[in-house]
Amino acid sequence: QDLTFAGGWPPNSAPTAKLEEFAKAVEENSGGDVTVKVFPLSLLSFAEANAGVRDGIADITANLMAYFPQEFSHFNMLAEFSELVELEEFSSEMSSLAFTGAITEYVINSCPDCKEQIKAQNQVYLGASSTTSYVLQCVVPIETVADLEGKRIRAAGAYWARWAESVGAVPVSMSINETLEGLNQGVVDCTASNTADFVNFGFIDVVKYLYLGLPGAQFNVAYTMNRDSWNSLSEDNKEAMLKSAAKLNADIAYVYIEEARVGKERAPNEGIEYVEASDELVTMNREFIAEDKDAIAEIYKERFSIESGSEAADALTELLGKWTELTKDVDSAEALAEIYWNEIYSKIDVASYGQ
Amino acid sequence: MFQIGRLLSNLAKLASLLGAICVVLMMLHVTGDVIGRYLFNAPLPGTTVIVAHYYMIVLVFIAIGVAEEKRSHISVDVLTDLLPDRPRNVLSILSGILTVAVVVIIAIGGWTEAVKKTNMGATMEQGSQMIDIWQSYWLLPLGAGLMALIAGYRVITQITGWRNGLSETDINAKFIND
Amino acid sequence: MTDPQIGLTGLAILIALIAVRVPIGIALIGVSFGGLYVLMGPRVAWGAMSIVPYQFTSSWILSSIPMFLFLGFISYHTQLTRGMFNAARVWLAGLPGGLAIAAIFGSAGFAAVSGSSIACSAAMGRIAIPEMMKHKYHPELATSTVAVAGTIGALIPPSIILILYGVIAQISISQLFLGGVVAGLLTALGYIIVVLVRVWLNPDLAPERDTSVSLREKIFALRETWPIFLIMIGIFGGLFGGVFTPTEAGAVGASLACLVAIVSGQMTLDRFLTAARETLTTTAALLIIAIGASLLTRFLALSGAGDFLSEGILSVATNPVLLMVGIVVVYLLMGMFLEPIGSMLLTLPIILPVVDASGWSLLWFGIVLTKLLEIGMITPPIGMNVFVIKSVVGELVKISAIFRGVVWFIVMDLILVAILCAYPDLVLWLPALLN
Ligand code: NA
Ligand code: NA
Repeated sequence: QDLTFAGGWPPNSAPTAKLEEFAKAVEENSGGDVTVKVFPLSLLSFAEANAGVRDGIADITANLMAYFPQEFSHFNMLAEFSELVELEEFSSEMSSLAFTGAITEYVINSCPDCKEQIKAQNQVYLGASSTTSYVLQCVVPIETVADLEGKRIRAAGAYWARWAESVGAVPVSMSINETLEGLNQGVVDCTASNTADFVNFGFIDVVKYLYLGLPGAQFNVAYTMNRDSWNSLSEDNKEAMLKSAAKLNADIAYVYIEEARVGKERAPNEGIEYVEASDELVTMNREFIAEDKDAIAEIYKERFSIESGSEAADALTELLGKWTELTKDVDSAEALAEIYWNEIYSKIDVASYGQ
Repeated sequence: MFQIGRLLSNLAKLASLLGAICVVLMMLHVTGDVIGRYLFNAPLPGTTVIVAHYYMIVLVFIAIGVAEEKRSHISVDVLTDLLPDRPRNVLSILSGILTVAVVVIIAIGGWTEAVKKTNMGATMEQGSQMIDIWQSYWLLPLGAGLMALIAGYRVITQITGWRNGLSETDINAKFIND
Repeated sequence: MTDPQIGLTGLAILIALIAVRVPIGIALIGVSFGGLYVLMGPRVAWGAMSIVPYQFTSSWILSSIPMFLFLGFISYHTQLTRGMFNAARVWLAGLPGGLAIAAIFGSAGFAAVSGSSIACSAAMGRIAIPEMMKHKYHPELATSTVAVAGTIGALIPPSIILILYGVIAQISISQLFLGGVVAGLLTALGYIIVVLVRVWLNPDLAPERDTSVSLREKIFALRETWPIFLIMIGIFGGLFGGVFTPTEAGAVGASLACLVAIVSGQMTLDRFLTAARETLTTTAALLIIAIGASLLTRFLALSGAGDFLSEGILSVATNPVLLMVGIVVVYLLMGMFLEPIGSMLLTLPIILPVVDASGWSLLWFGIVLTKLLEIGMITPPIGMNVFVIKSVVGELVKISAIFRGVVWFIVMDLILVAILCAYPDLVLWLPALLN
């Protein structure tokens, strides 16, 4: 069986290389029964990916669910709780690995509404990777809470816009491709972007300051498969697909950390102050998150009639505790894939999954 | 038949006016956003979403029918100009039929997606706001429908030789931009 | 049929349809739909038709295209660039062929507010040709100079071709614009040299020189150039001063042009609406082709024909010089018949992977490609810029005479392309400097 994977990352990027590895893994795990051809960007853009896989233009994709607030409200609410990783007990360089595990486990085991939503889009959920945390990358110094007042900050989504408004900054909507120029020419003072995009989108060439721990939260990339294609697989091949998905989950999450490390290493040579945000700012941020947790539940209740917000927040907090423990000593993507497989994917009942 | 042509022509005029208004609104909206952001630290909320999902859709899809009426769609007439009148007219009719078919396909595709987006009540997020976008999906089948009607009507008048009531010449529109 | 064969058959049908005058956008969309239907079945074909046209169009970055078009049309209809030509005329009156050189300067100035080459030729044609005729310039020189000078419009930013290229090749549009500045100025310089050489060889081409212009007149003439300079300073100052992004520059520039036209008393409701309507039909005509090209990309990708062709080209053109010569020849041939944006959108799905695999700079290639596409605007039998000039001069000059005059400039264009290929840094230094 020949399947297609439409990725929205550029052809020569590190994530695209991981998609190729996923394709190889599927072929190996299925004993050659199933092959996957990867189309980076040429088949579906991120904006088209959801509808494209729904209609079978491609079989599998990296689905940026944040683009579709209505279609994936449950998933997006869970993704917004990624702000919790900035709390003292979870905060670390590897926190995205823990959140990747937590959200994937929660969606697969504890979120029937998620299953409904993904089914309504004629797709099956194969997991989701979390990017590294979003941090302020600025051309001007931000030392105190007062420094944030009136600063124009590029905000990639609702969480960051809410955060900017609450601290007195001005959230600016700008496509990621324009952000480098926006920073360079001073249209915006800062971007809230993850530490991997710091390198990938060239912000490292123009910003002067990078503040870890502020504003926090992570972006969630889900992997989804056309439901008909999934159901056409034999049970063995479904298992092979899940096994490969565990690897993909781990690979992409891990590659973001590796790219972030490159940025951290290069930053001093570029004369960039790459530091933890000041205590004052971090304290302010953690206070914001503690309150925002309830605000998220309120917003999703009001906009999408989702009642389970605070419940989900509590469950994810607990899962984050478990996953922080499980992932804190991980030193390779292989080891990580093993953990995701053992803890989540191997327990899935392939016969009924995605039905 | 001539009356139908006049009717279509008037519809195209209406579409053209609507589109021209959107061109101006888009200019003012983006300029307002820039001024608000730069001078007052207060960008207009939702600008990029509204520009992309409303103005752009109107500018392209409401206008394809207008471009069809004015014969502004770009084609290559090197070879056909060498042909005698009769085969050239036959080709022109076939090309018109193909145009109708393709535009109907676009309209149907747009329609099915519009139904899905409407049922979903599709929105986009900008900043901390949500903006409805499902309405804009209907502009696509609407505009493609107008183009299909105009192209179809032209084929009929070409075959029958009836006088067509379209206003096809727009001297200024000849300056297509490259 | 194998999948790549289906893809190649689709391409053959596409070329046949375009040849029999099916609108390019319709041909692209029809073939892509049919091809996907045969290749992947009805569900995928209909899926592509329901997703791609809307998603491709609803793009924030592409919104700069109608805005730059509007800026150009407003400037054109309200004749904001007339003063630019007049000033160049007064200052260059003493030079051999001074009026022709002034027309090139005027075009370069208009290029800074217009995204396209035809608008540039049309605007300068209405202003400069009557002036040259009045001073007994040879019609061949007068018309051909304005026809070719228009091509500067697509190189000096803003440029519709460069915006579309940037969107498709995923590279920075302001970097492309900076590369375009260099190529545009080099082109203007090259054309000036051609005029000087031709008049030096044959002084009868431009017999009248006006050496009697006083300094006072010269200074006075400069005062008329304020509209264009104000708009230019507004756009580039705002861009590099952090006021707005390249995407927003078109809208701000258009607003500025409207203001300037109102202040200078040139704006009427009729001109305003005409500019808006032309923006509308031109945007639709361009974007429907771009949508078609975007659909074709999916069809070529899924069929494998894209890879097949790209790999084929790479295996035949074994060294970079051969590959580049091949590319130049292909675009010159296409440029004879096809409209530049159509040719670009048709070919990029196949050419970009080749360029990428060769390790060439995509930025540099975008500039060279624009230059090649613009040569097509002045080559017979279909040379849109020449046609526009012809429509300005009416029966006074034969179209064959204009094409004859253009030959000299084409030679210069080819020399310039060779120089850009030999020294890519000519294009790349400015973008690198300002990054
Ligand atoms: Na230009
Ligand atoms: Na030509």
